[in-house]
Amino acid sequence: MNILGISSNYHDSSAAIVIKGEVIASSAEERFTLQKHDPSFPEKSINYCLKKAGIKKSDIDLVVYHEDPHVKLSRTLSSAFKNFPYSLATFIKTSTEACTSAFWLKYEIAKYLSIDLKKIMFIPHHLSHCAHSFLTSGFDEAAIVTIDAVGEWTASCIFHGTKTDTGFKLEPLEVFPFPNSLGLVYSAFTAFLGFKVNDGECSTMALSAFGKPRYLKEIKNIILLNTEDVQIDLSYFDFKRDDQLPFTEKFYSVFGAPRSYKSKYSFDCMDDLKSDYDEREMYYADVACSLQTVLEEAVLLLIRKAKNLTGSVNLCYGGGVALNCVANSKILESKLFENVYIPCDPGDGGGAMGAALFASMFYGNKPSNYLVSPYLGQNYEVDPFLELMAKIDPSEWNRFSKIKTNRLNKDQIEIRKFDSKDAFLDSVAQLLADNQIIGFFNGRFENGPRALGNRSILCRADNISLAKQMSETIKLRASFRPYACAMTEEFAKEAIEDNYSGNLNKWMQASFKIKKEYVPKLRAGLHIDHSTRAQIVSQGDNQDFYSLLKKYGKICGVEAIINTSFNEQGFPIVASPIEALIMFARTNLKYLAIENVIIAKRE
Amino acid sequence: MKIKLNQLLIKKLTPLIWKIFPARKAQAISRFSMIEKDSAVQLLECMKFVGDNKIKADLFQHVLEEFHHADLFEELAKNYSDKHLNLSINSRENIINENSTHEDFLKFYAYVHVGESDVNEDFEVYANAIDDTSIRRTFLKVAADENRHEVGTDQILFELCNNDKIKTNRLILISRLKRSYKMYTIAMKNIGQIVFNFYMSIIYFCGGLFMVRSSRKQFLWTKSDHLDFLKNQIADLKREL
Repeated sequence: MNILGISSNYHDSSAAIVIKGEVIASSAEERFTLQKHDPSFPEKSINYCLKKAGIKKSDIDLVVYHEDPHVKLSRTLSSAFKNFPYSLATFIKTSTEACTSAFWLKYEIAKYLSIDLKKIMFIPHHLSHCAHSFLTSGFDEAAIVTIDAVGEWTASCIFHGTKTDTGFKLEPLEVFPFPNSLGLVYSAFTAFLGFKVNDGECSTMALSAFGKPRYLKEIKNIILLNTEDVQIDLSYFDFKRDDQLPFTEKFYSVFGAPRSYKSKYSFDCMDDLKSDYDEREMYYADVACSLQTVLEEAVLLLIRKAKNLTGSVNLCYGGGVALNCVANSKILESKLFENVYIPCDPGDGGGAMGAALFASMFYGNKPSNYLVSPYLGQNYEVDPFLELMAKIDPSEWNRFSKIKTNRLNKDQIEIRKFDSKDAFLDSVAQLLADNQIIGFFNGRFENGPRALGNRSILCRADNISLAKQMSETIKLRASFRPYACAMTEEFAKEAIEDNYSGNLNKWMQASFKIKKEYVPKLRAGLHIDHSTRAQIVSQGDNQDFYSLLKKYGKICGVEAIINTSFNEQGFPIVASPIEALIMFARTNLKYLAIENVIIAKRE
Repeated sequence: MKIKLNQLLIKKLTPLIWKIFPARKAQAISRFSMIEKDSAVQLLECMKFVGDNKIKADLFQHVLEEFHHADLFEELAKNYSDKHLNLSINSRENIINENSTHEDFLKFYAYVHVGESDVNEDFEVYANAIDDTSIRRTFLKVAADENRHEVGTDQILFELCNNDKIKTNRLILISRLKRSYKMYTIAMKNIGQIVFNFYMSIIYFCGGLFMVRSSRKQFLWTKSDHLDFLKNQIADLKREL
């Protein structure tokens, strides 16, 4: 049974192919279109998935879509009419969307895949999230919590999942309906703080570390928490008017004017915490901190409720809010569950895989007993790329850069090919030890928003000026946003406080405090509070990346380096060697390590 | 003719619209950024179908320039907007794909050439129509690059057509007609949207009175109503699967 999962039409479109219950390939559309969070129909991802699985369109037995667009339409239309007669613009927007996509989605899919309409099914949004987190976890039984902005009529859900002799059972236990959405409120505040909605939520989380929770009362007037429920006071928001600044006068009277997106925050996560930050900046940091604190409380409330309803020792957690690694750490600290699992792509991008896995279980397949690997993207051959490299003239690259770079001649590009992976990794480790920043490209790309050692930019974690140089001349990254460390599991046992032995650290899902004595060795990869969203690598997770960390450790004595995503600001993580070369050409990145080749700029 | 009409509209209407609706200025410039980025992505896709590494390298250079133009427009747009521009992304037309033949690739490349030629002229018109130094400077800079692209793509197309001038001109003519037709369909779509909006407004105000009650009622659903609804959805799915 070949099942294709599709997610599209909001943000992070993606496709996944599941054959006999096993995920063969999965990718977000953005990796092929270079459009971050691309919402369009994932044609290229579908083509990749089919190619990787070695099947044709006609071989697809079933297509499942990650939500029910008709139910979603009923919600958007109801929202429009609810505010009659002040919602004409929303109504027209909704009607246009309905007439161009929602009504015809099945036909669009059927036409593209040349497949019978009966072979296309819609899976409810939160069920897709739920299936994704449970069916990739390897647990026999678990409480499942999904929290995101909104899917159809639902903002958050609690399920109980169990494996059975014939397959599995997913039972919904509680639903928290729209508009009581934690995701929407967090996104709205993200806009208030000057960041982009559906993209800058990680910046809100990063900013919160600089503030104090001085506005808990004000935020709790918006996010109303009691022991049983989470509700939102919507009188503070006007989502129908403006999705970038969706606030009412009531909101402005409490929180004041939003921060301009053009004003940069001066906080620096690599410095020590100061007492004399700009007063206005501190205000926004305090708001972010208060919001983060209330979000953590709300998430814990739902998690606690899941515990009470299921009595399980295992938790699976999905939906966009599950990307909040600080809140995830609080789940671990609460010790409500012995084991916590979050898939590597818990947001809408993972919905395609969830829907496909869910459907596959009805055709004689059983949930896997192991974690599904995040390395499900495409791999590329390096030889055609090297043939192209021989013809490329870098003399005008400096004209195309956002930042000042030097003019290069052709003979200043050095290409070194290695006979073995081992020798290649030795050389990369030595370059890292020699204080170089390296674009590291190896094997299949990762599923989800985190770079996990196959499309990463790497550098030493003990060299603050090097990390700052990376922020300013390569990543164009705001100084308040921390990098993260990748480390071997052996090193993590020594360096991390309250060492957690579960799966949450494999894919950068939670942040961990570093022991005081290890702080100087890792400072450039830590946040202001000396925590890091660590990727803890074992041999079984990623053999090559693990070897690289070991080799680096042999030279420097520390099996940990900074691992940040291989992308430019505003671009998705690179997929192909050509995209890696684009970043190499447009920034001050000096080394590109691709499969078994190192390309260097000599100046 | 259509191109000239387009340029006349840019010359006369754009300064007026941007003056009356300042937010449109940032949006329009941001759209140019998206168009340039889209060109870069199309060219990247195109590189997959070229065997000759010399031509591929030229295309790579072209890709870098288009990304650079996207950066220039993006930076410029920021000067005229107080908030993030969250423009909806037009779904990308896959002009070339895995099943494309060499002839399809030639057609695509001729289309790229015609596009470069048109935007070059458009950007010059924008530069002269808008009374703003930074806008003018950016448009003129990009126009100069596009002018070079126009010459460069013409040369590459000629080489790809095995130095056959007649074939090259034929491909360019077909692309011009195709581009004119595309502009016509875009104009018709926009007119269609206006008509659609008009009818939807009527439906909204006539139907709204009847719908408002049931819509508000749906928001009064309890959590258990929603839970039952989800359970029913799952039960239906199980039956279908």
